[in-house]
Amino acid sequence: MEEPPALGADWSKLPADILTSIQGELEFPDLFRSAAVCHSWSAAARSLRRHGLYSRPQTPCLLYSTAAAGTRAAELYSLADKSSYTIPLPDPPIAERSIVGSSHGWLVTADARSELHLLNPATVATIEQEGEPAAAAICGGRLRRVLYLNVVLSGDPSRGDCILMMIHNPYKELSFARVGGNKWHWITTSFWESQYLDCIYHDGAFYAMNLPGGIHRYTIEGPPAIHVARTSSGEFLQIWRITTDSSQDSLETHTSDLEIFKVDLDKQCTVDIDTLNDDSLFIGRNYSCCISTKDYPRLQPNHVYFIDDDEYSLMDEQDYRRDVGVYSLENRSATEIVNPEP
Amino acid sequence: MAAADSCDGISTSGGGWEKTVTLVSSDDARFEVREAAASLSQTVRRMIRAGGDGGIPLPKVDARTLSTVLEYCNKHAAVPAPAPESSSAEAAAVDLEWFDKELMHVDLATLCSLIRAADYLEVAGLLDLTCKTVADMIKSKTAEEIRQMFGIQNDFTPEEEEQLSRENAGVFE
Repeated sequence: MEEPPALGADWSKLPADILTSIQGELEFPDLFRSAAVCHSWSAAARSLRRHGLYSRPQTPCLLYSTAAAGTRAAELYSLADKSSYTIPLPDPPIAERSIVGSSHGWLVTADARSELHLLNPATVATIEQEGEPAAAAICGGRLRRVLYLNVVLSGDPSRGDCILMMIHNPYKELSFARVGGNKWHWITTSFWESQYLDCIYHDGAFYAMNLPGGIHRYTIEGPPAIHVARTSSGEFLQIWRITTDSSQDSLETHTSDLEIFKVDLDKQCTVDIDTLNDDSLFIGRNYSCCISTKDYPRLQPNHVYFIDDDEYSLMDEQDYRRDVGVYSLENRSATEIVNPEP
Repeated sequence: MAAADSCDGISTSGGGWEKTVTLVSSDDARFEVREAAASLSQTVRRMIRAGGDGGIPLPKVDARTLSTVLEYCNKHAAVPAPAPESSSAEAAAVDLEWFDKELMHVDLATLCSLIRAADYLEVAGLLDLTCKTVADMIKSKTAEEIRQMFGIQNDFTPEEEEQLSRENAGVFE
């Protein structure tokens, strides 16, 4: 039997998957030029983009509509090579949408009916975002055209779950939703506290700046569970329980952090606090309450005792580990108390 | 058949007893390599598992290319995983980066053979390195310059070519 020949050094005979790997390293302008080399290089570039594999970080580009490009294409001006390219984009026609945000290579666009569509111009992947913030639904007439002011993504939606934070009218408030989800959560603040103008995301938190220049930090990790309780000295507390999912498919959760705010009923605001002093706090399905360790010295002061409170994990996931533990506000960490067999 | 059957020798390099395997190139050159290094190639790793006598035949890779591939494997397999963020880890990373850069100082024909060998042998790190090297060479060049550099025939008709320039090389078709 004749031996197969050794792999040659002919560049035009490179297998398609290798060409795709090479082109995947190129920025847009270089990708376009390399696709014009020959038929096989052209086919490789097309499949790279079609299969959503083209997610290379790009030097920022300016994207805009022009009459010349038509309604279904946009002009992409590359700062890398200082020239512009016409790129066709999927429907609804890009020229009829307003672009309300751009981050992690994705555009957030709103069509004439205020429906949101996420679009990645590099891979032409699209995600429909259903629903709209409840607060925005009251807007009608001309205000609808300027309903959404700015949308920020917490990450690249093609790489996993991420959150969409939006500044919207009527009062420049914030609402957030999971990308691809349909439930919007309105972050209610007073009129003077809202009036948000800009927002960025960094390392697990959104930082939104309001009209007076105040910057508010919002962390969103999983659906937050929120509780109200009174301290033994009579102050109202608002407790945010931050949970993390142990895996994507499981609803099993772990309490990773607790944020406690003191509610000032006179000033109608909340103040972040980092100690419960001599109190221990109980949250879960029970009556949320603070108990003074002076009365019950065997409880740990400045600790939060918690049990599962997520409605879905209580309903559906009977076989999973229960999230039962005690959280130390001093060490900012949780330890398990008991682990009852499911 | 047991995996050990394909191991031709035992060496004492690195202060310990290490298993080695013999790889045979398309032109019948024999290379004795530490199994840890050879296993960076998923193709070779599978063949070691399958077992066999008299060395592992690699009929698609010639001796010259294989020796460069093995140079890469030996270097990358030799690096133990130190604690991240330690100064030695940083030094090792710098050393590897420098090694990789030097290894890519080859002519175009060799580079092409290396890419194809890395693909066939499934050495992920080397495939990545060679692809990035080629991508760097393509950057900022026109289609004609790329054709000339790599000796590729322009197989587009004039009509196709005009169409391509209008539609960003047909990437968006």
